[in-house]
Amino acid sequence: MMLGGYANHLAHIDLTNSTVTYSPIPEGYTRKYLGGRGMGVKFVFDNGPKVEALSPDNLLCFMNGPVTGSPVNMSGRLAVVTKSPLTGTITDSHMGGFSAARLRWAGFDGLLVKGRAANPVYLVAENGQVTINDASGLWGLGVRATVKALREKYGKDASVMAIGPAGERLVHFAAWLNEDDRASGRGGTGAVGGAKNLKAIVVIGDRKNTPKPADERKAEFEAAQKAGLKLIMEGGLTAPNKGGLSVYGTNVLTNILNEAGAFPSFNGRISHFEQGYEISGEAFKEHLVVKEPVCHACPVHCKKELEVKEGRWKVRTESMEYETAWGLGAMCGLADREPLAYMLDQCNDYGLDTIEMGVTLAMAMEASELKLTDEVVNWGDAEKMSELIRTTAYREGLGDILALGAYYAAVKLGNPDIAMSVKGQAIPAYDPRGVQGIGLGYATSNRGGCHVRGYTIASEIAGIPFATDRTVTEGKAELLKIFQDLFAFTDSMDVCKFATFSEGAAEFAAQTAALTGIPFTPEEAMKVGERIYNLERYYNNLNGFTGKDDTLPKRFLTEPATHNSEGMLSQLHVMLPEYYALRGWVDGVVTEAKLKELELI
Amino acid sequence: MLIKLFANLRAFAKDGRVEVALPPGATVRDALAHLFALTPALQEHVIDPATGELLPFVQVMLKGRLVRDLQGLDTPVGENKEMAIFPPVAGG
Repeated sequence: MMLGGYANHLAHIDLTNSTVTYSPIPEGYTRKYLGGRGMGVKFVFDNGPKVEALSPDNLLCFMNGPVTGSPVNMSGRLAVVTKSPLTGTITDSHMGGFSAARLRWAGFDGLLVKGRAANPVYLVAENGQVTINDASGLWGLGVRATVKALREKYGKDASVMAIGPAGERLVHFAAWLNEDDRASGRGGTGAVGGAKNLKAIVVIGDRKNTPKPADERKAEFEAAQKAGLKLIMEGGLTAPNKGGLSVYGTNVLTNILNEAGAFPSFNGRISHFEQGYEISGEAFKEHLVVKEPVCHACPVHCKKELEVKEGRWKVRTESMEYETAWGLGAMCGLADREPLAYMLDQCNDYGLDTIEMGVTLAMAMEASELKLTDEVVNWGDAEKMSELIRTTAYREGLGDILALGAYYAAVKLGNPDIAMSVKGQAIPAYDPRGVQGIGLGYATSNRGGCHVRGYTIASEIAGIPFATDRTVTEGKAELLKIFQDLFAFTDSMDVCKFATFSEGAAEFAAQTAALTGIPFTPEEAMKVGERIYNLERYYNNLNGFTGKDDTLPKRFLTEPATHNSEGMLSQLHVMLPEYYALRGWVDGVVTEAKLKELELI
Repeated sequence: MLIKLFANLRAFAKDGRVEVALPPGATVRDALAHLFALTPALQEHVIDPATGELLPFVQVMLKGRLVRDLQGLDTPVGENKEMAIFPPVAGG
């Protein structure tokens, strides 16, 4: 049966031999892995879990899902899936904007890149064909200059994803960014591009190729799309131009987490930032926000473009996210908005993950205090931070150590306990002492410290789909598993996380089923999510990851939180056994019975 | 008691802050009544007129605890000198 939604067209790019071949999606993969994250994980798994992340043999996948680029709202996402040089786990990192939609309109479900080019190259994807082109004139440029040069050549409707100097130099948390500053930030996928001598991907796609359902499902699809849109437009958390996310962006969270005493500050030594308001979404909106850009098919407009009009930190950039303001701000003890905007821009142009960069700088500040560094790095020293961001990207001096990310840099400096990381990846902006469920989420994430594998904050703070008490452990294992499985499905559609603030498995399954023709029920959608989550875990198990790695930085287990979460510690030891029991795992390892149940072996 | 307002609710008071004087034994509901007496236009953004309870996803926090996780609007204010009110917020 011809499936709707999919292009049923994959490009296999071998950079070592400068060849491109094409194939349809392998039989059965759509039903079992859907697309996006799930199908990318399957391809990376099939490539062999033992591969070295920065070797030519690693597979770098740019994956669309079946609803990407369609009228389904918030469907402007693509997943970059590979083995992470930062963690050694499998990883996927998603980018918004219009690159994903254009890739689908250009006729692709995915670009699968392997090998290593003899000289720098970039790809052009258009009309179902990929060409490999000389990028020697682009190598060394920042993301912005790369995007500019390639859009001058291919037109302003071309989308460009690029790495910057950080990716070229194999910084372990280097990112891919596009013309809208949307980033596949986490896990170091940009370094995998750098290791392949792959500088950029140009995508030229015409909107007239928007994916459509089969004629007999047209009415069903329109109804499913409209039902989802209605929920987004009327949803308390997503409604455009009302209240939080749409008006202030993701950084509207700073004040509520800070008020809860669950906002790690000064490298997590305390859990409240006295000057938190100064770096909140409210303050940025009042002082620096100049524009509210969008992603494909999104009415929410959560992106916030900033401008510092003059002075030392003069810059125009987007988007000041909650995580960025926290990582470079509260974690480092910096409450000055203008240098924060400037440093965000540095990270975007060098091609660096702002979460990892912020947490790594915070680690360096504590290391400096402990006399573990030759260079002095004081808390909140914006000039020094900006210099270290540059030297990290270019791997000079202390920056060459920081380029390993917070955890492995701390190991090298002699004290891994000062890295607020899980499985080698920095945690994001929620204190696992003050919000119990998210701590379990960090510990059990298959890609290292991460909030978007299972965003229990939705329940523990915002109260969706139902409210739970952030301070208790009861029910958190079950809550997390539901979120992890649901997100594995939505990441494979591929839609934005924020769609889940107003829509659930029923809506996502209905949209996917109507577009593709695969009769997903909500239960089957959750089963696909569970299968993907287990396949990722199995991949990690085959790389030696077990229950010993499902843990948190010692600080969150032994040093009590402060302020309005005073005295709290993560009760991970209570939640983890419950979680493993629900997953059917033994000490963090997927059992053969579970693999068989999920049709993975 | 100092009541702190956030996001779009800040516009209802100077710097988003309102001082209210509460009698001993006051609850969160009492604190909100005092607040709305000073800022009447705020009420419709916080309270559902049909139920008299908080609107969906509006959060009131007392010493870092969401009152929905305590006794809701009947939570005693006790010795707390500050309360925070948030409109629906989410992100990440």
